[in-house]
Parts: sequence; structure tokens; C-alpha cells
Amino acid sequence: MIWISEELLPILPIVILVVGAVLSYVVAHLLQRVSHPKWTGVFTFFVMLIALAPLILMLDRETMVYHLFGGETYLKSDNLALLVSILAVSGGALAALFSTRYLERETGLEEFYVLLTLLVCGIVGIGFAGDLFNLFVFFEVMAISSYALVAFEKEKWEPIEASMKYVIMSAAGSIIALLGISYIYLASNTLDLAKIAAQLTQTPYLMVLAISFVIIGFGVKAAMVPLHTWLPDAHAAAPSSISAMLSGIVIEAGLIAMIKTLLTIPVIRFGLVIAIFAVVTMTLGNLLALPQRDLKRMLAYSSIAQMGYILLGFGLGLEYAVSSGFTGGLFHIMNHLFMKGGAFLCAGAILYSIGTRDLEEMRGIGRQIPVVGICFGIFGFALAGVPPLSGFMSELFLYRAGVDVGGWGVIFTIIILLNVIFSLGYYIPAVNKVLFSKELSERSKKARKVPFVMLVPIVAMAGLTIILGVMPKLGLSLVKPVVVDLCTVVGCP
Amino acid sequence: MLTTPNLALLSMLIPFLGMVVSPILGVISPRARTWSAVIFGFLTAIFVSMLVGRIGEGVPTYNWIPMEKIDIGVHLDALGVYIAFIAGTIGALVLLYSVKYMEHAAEEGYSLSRYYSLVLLFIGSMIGLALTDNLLILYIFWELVGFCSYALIAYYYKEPKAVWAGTKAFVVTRIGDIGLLIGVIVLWRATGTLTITEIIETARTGGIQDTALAIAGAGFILGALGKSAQMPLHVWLPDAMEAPTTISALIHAATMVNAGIYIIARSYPIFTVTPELGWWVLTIAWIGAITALFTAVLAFVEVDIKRVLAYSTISQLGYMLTAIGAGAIMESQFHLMSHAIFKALLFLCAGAVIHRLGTRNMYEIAGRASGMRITHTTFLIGALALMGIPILNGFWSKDLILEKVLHKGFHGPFAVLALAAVVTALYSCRMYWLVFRGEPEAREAPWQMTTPLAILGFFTLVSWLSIGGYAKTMAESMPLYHIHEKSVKSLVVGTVTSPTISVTIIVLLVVLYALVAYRERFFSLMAEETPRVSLARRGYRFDDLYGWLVDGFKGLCVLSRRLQTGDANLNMLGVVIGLWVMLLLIYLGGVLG
Repeated sequence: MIWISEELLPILPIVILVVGAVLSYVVAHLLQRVSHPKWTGVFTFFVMLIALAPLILMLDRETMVYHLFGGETYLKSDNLALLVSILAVSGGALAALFSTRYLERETGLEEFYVLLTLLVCGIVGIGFAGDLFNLFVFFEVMAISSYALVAFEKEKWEPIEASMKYVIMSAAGSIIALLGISYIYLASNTLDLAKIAAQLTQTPYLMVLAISFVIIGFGVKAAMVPLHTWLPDAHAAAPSSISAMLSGIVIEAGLIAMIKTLLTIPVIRFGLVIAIFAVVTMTLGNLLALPQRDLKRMLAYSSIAQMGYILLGFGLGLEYAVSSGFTGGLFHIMNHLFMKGGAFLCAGAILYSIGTRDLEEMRGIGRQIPVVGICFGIFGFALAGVPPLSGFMSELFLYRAGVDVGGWGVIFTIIILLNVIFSLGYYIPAVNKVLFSKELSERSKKARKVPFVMLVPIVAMAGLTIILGVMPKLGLSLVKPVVVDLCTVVGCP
Repeated sequence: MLTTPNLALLSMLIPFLGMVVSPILGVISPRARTWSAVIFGFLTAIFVSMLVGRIGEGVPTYNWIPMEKIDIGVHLDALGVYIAFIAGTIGALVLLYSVKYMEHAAEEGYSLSRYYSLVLLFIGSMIGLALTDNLLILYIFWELVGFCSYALIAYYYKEPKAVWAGTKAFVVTRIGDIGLLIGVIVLWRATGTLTITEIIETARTGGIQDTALAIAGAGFILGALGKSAQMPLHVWLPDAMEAPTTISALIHAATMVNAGIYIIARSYPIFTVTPELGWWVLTIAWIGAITALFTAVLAFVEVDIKRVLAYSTISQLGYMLTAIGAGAIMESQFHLMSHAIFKALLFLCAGAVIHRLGTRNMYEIAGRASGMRITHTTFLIGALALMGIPILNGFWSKDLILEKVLHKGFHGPFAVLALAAVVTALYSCRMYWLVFRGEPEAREAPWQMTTPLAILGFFTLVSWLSIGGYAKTMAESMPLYHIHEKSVKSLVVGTVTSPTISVTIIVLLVVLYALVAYRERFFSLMAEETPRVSLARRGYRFDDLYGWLVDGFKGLCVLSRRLQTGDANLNMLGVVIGLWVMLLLIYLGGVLG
């Protein structure tokens, strides 16, 4: 066994993922000679598992720093980095496993797994980045891989259009964010996230610009209304495993990048502004989700709404220094990955089975493929915030955040609660159509069996959705250290 | 030996175990599944019955979420244990009854594994709700109960009406749940704990601000209105009659609707600590009384036997709510028990009739059920108890409530409740007449169905004799509620000598008059749709009102779709607008503010 120096641990996950990405391309080509490239998916699955190992190892250790090129730029294994990376890698592993059979008839699979691995690598990098330079570079790695993944089924018209819109908006966002970052550099003369706050010169107007640019720039990825318009198209058109990744962790990674950058500027308060945008985001997301007939589009809009909940938690946490806001936001990121990711995988399994995303045409499909149907029910109820599933437990802390603000803060609690109730208006009919419909639709009658490999990630995610709801301390043990870190920055009581 | 903690744990876990085990056994044989579910039901019933002997004993807590210091504990006072007891025992009888009653469902292609699993989950959640001393756990079980009712009301999913009714039940009760959840969180924030006993302690030492108490109090009322189907959130319960009749019995007698009454009784000591919250008890009392009267009227015009019973449940729950408002906790819980027994009986009788005659329309039944001897007799017992005729259990408990409400000076609610009692007698007479006075046609139901009827009928006759033990355990284990002990003797003497006995006398006179003057005319009464009857049959058009709201909301959703143009130029415009708004807000809030 090769002995690895402890100092290398922080860079190890990224190295494993980059090497894995390259290798998966080679493996796919080699496999094409002997058998089907679908085994590349299994290879990628194992790459993710290997990348998970150093992350788990680092959980028990103090924060470690790895300097790149001996200079100012470095990777740092703080609690937030570990949380985000573990989520991204485990999500990526499940998505890879699902894709093995889901995409078996597609061409270009060798690129697919490279891109998926790089996507995960980008998110891990966003988590680990200790400076604005790395943060932005990894953000772009994630963004560019996701553009290509959305357009993966390139012979169809819909993914191409969706990806084009996504590229235009996201690239604009990246530039705006870069501008914001450069203002911060201008004012502080450093890119080191830990040092910026101390070195900021008093230039409030410049900082107003910087904060706005950072929020809007990363906000495009985080699907804040009115920057969300790319999301429904992209999520609906992407392959379902990619939709699961986009919705489960990529848009959240945008938010993490935003928060990491913003935390360096303590001189100006902006939490309430985020909270206001969050309220608009969740409300519009839910309103738009209700009339959808396309299941994946409905789930995409519901992601906007869920993003609103998460944003609200962070906004209240930043503005009023309430720790429950951070707890709720971070815990919801974790739960949302599994419940929304799982819901997208269910949509993918249904698409695989009967070739439609139309809710009307999938009536009764749950009776034909009961495992998918029941899991979809679990995800639907979890997303609608029904206890004892995980979605409720994280939303509980978000509700608590509004009350913790005190005084009129309870209005935020009421708004988010009303939104959760509104969301029942589309989750339950969708579950009803899948499970409890009078007769099978024409397509459902001809459903084909969903292979076992595709069921494994779905059932795993459903299991996690239940476990994190019944035993929330398992998830909170990862989330709480991050909350403590954030709290020391903003000064929670 | 069975220690108290083990016993509490067993009574909470056995139904959940059964929920998992019985469908697995179902793979082997349908009989094994069905009877294992019944056995699990009866085991639960035995354990909760044993808990009655352990009222007042302490149970250690379990540290559920250490980071937030949230403990799960069990609180064995009489209030919770009796609710759990009712859920367990009536649940077991319903399960036994289901063996025969649900046979047809399997033939029609519905899964009985789903049925039994959900029923056990339903019972287990209700027991958990009643026994826990943690508000968050209570809320979780509360929602689980709601989920079970959704899934079970929608059990016959091939009927679109059933799916719609289940969804409606879930959504309407969840609207109420917003209130409860806000209440729970406000109390959590104000006291730093979720343990009910500690919250009560803090409230009584003045540790909670009045505004927090007011918000939480209003929230708890809203939650109870949804769950216990009180006006104006009562609309889900009549439609819930699309469920199998066994489920209706379960919802109305053993689980679900009792939860609302329970939470109000449980939180009573919290919200009565300050005179500032005087409106809290008044609101409860008035909502209960108004609901009791108005829904009794609706029961009078209904044609569907199950919907009559549904409205009658809402009406009886109104009595209990008013009783709590008047501070009569023991009386309300005593009536809850009486009601659970006779209402389960009435539903199961109705189920037997429907099982044999295949219709729920009373004008179609037209007395053809009169030949079903056991069903007929037990239904009559149940109906008399519902009317409040001596010496059945409903008479004593209803009279106790009226007595206490009058005694506490709630004259308005008392008058409304007394009027409701008369209407109750009338609709009960009408229902009995329409179903059982006619040419006998149907055969008696099988023993699996009549046994629970006989048991429930017996207890409808005698359950009031338990008042001594009932009041004693309540008085001893719930010192904050100021409950006085009562014996059978003091109950009888007190009831006969109280002025409220006049209500019963009036009821008796009205019933006699109705029987003499109407008799056969019941068959034509309300058979025609006059405008007034039609208005009442539509439940005073509450449903239409909510329908408009939902339609308006849907319209808003469709309108909002215009914002999603799909045009890349306009998408980019969004980014620009977002940037400007952001700049403006941060400039205003950050630099100037």
C-alpha cells in the first residue's frame, strides 16, 4: 500500500477526481473494444467512492491547509468544505450508478462520465478553495461541465436550446461575479478568504457594488428570481441523473460560492436583501410549479422554491445572526440533494420505462413499477415538508429561524409555511397520478421493467430521506460544525 | 416483568412493528397477513390497557437530537393514556371487523396489505401522539395521523372521488397545522424546550411573554380546528366518508379527530395562565358551540347515512371543545370516551348495513335493514346514546358538559348547545327510522362483524360506570387541571338534581312528539330538494367558498407562467433587473441604513 503524507489529504479528493476523470475516458475507450461502455459508469462510481475516503478521514481531524504553488492560493479542509464535498461526491456516485443503464443506448458515454466527474470535482473545489482565485476557477470547472452535460443528448433540439440559454445566462453571471471579486481584490489587495476582512479599506460604495455583483453573479447559478429563467429548461432537458445533480447540488454550490465570498465583507449588511429575494424566489417557484404537466419541469420549478427556503435561512442567518437559519439552510441542502435528486431519478426511471415526462400520460405507472412509485411518493411527501421525512426536519429549523429573529420575523415563518402548504398543491396530485389513479394510461400499460442498478440509487436516496427525518442527528452532526464556524464569523449569540 | 417504560415503548412500537410485519406475511398468505394484523391490533390494545394501571408513573427520556437538546419522553398522565387507550382498543375492534368487511376489496383489486399496514400505522401514530411529552414529536405524529387519513380515505383509489376526498382531508388539516406548528415553534423559542411539562412550568411561572402566548394560543386553536373538523375547517370530514366504513369508524372514534380535542386539553394550562388570554377560552367555547348546532342541522338534511354520522361527529366534537373552553377537561374527555364508543358502534352498524344492502342512501335503504337483529339493536343503543337518553353513556357525559358549561357562566354557548341537543335527537330519530323501520330484507352480518358491535353496544350501556376510577386517575395525575373526584353515586345525584336535566326532559318530549306525530312521514321528510334543503346539503356552501379561493389561486399560477417567456433576451433582462434591484436595496440598506 502506498503511504500518503497527511499534508496531502486536502488535495487528495481533487486529485482522485481529476485522475479518475481522465482514466474514465481511457476505460470507456478500452471497454468499447471488449464490451459496452456502460461499465464506465461503474468505474466512475468507484472513483467517487475512493474520493470519499480522504473526505471521511478528514472529518475527525483539525482543519488542514494545502498550499498550491507555494503562494497565496491554497485549499482548506474546513467543515463547510467537507460537508459540501461529501454531498457532492455521494450524489455523484449515485448519479453515475443510475446512468449506467439509464444512458446505455446513448453515444458519447466516454465524455459523459468525464464531465460528471469534473462536475463533482468543481463542487469539491468550491468547498475546499481557500482563496477567491481557486473559488472562481473551480466554479467555472463546475459550470462548464454542466453546460455540456445539459446538452448531452445533442441530437435532440430541446437540450441544445436549453443549454444555450443556460450558457448565456450563466456566463453573464460568471463575468458579473468575477467583476465583484476583482472589486474585493481592489479594496483588500488580497485574494485570501481569511485575510480579506482584515485588509478591507473603507470604501463602502465600492463594496456595495462588489456585494451586488457577487450576489447576482453567483445568484444566476443559485437560481434566485429573477435570475432563474435558465433553470426549468436546463433541468427538464438534461439527462435525469444530471438533473438530479444540477438540482441537488450544483445550484446549491452556487449559493455556497456566494456565501463564502460574501462572508469576507462584514462591513455592509446584506442578509435582509437575500431574505427578500428568497421570499420572492420561493413564492414564484411554487406558483410556477403548480400548472406544470411535465414532471421534470415541475420538479425544476420546485427546486427554485426549495432554493428560496435555503436562501431564506442564509439570509436570516447573516442579517440577524440566528444560528437556526444556517442550520436549516445547510441541513436543507443535504436533504434536498437526496429528496429532489431521488425525485429526478424517479422521473428518469419513469422516462426510461414508458418514455414520457407528461404527468397525464404516466397515470398509474406506480402500480407497474411499484418500487419507483413508492419511492416517488416518499420524495413527494418529503419535498412537501411532511414529517417525519427529512424535508420537514430541515424546514423546521428554517421556520424556527423566522421566530428566532423575533418581533415581525414570524412573518418569514408564516410565508415559508404557506409556501410549503402551496407546494402540496402540486406534489400530492403528482403522487396521486403516479400511485392512485383510476386506470392505467396507454403508455403505463406498456411499461418496461426498470433494471435493478437504477433502483439502487433511488432506494438509497429514499432510505436516506427517511433516516435523516427519523434520526436527524446523523445529518446534523455534519451540519452543526459548519454552523458553529459561520456563527463565529457573523457573531451569533 | 413488564416495567412501565417497556410497556409504554411496547404500546407505541407494536403497531409500527405490525405495520412492517403484516405485509411481509401477506407475501406468504393473505390469511396470515389479515390475522397477524388483527393480533398486532389486539396486542396493542392489551398493552395500552395495561398502561391505564400505570398512570402517573415516570418514564426516562431519550436524547433524540443532542445538538438541539431535544429529548423524547413519555408522559403517562390520565389525559394521554385514555386517548391512547381508546385508540388501541377501538382500533383492535375495527381490525377484527375489517376481516370480513374488507374481503370484497381484495376481489376488486385493492391491496389489503396497504390497508392493514396503514391502519396499524394510524393506530400507532395516535398512541404516540397521545403518550409523548415532546411537542415536536407530538406534531410529527399529528402529521402522520393526517397522512394515514389521506392514504386511507383515498384507499379506493379507482374512485376519483375518494382520491379527491383524501387529498382534501390532508390539505385542509395541514392548513390548520400551520397554526399548530407556529405555536410549537413560538413556545420552543420562548422556553428553550419542547417538553410539554417544562413549557407548562415556565408558562405558570410567567416565563413566557404575553404576545408569544397569544400567537401560540391562536395557532393551537387553528390546528385543533383543522384536525377536529370544527368550523370553518370542517369541510373535509363529510367528504372523508368516501373511505371504507371501518376507516370512518377509526377516524371518528379512535384516532384523527380526537387529536384536536386532545391538543387543546393538553395545552389548556399553558394558555390560561394570564387574564390577557381570556379570549382563548371564549373563542374555543363559542367555536365549539356554533359548530355543534350548525352541523347538527346539516346532519338533519343529509341523505347519506355516513354523512349524517360525519356531521354528528363534528357536532359532538363541538360539545367537547366547548367543555374545554369552560374548563371542564375531565368532562370533555369523558364525553370523548363515550362518543368514541357509541360513534364507533354507529359506524360499524352502518357498515354492516352497507355491507348487506350496498347503498349509503337512507331513502334507498328505506328500513330494509330492520331484520338485522344484532345490528338493529346495537344501532338503536348507539343512537339513543347519541341523543343523550338516560341511562346510556352519552347521556351522562353530555349532561356533565352542559352542567359545567352552565355552572362556569358560559350562558351563550350553553343555550346553543342545548338547542343542538334537541336537533341531535331529531336527526338521530330520523336516521334510525329511515334505516331500520321497514320491511326486513337484509340478513344479519357475519360474526366477525357482529362481535365488535356487541362489545361496543355493551360498553355503550355501561362505560359511564367507570366514572369513579376515571375521575380519580385524572384528578391525581393532572393536578394543574383542578379536577374533582366523582363517584357513580355523586354523578347520578348531581345529574338528576342539576337544572340541566331539563334539557334532557325537553329532548325526551321532542323525541316522543316526533315519534307520535311523524313516524311514517320521516320517509318523505327532506326527500325533496327545496332551496333551503339544497343550501344545507351543500354545507352552507363552505366548499364553494374554498373552491373559489383555490380557483383564484390556480388562476394566479397560470398568470405567473407569463413570466417564463423562454426568450433568452428577456431572460437576460431578468439578470439586469435583478442587478439593479439588488444594487438599490443594498445601497439603501447597507450604506444609508
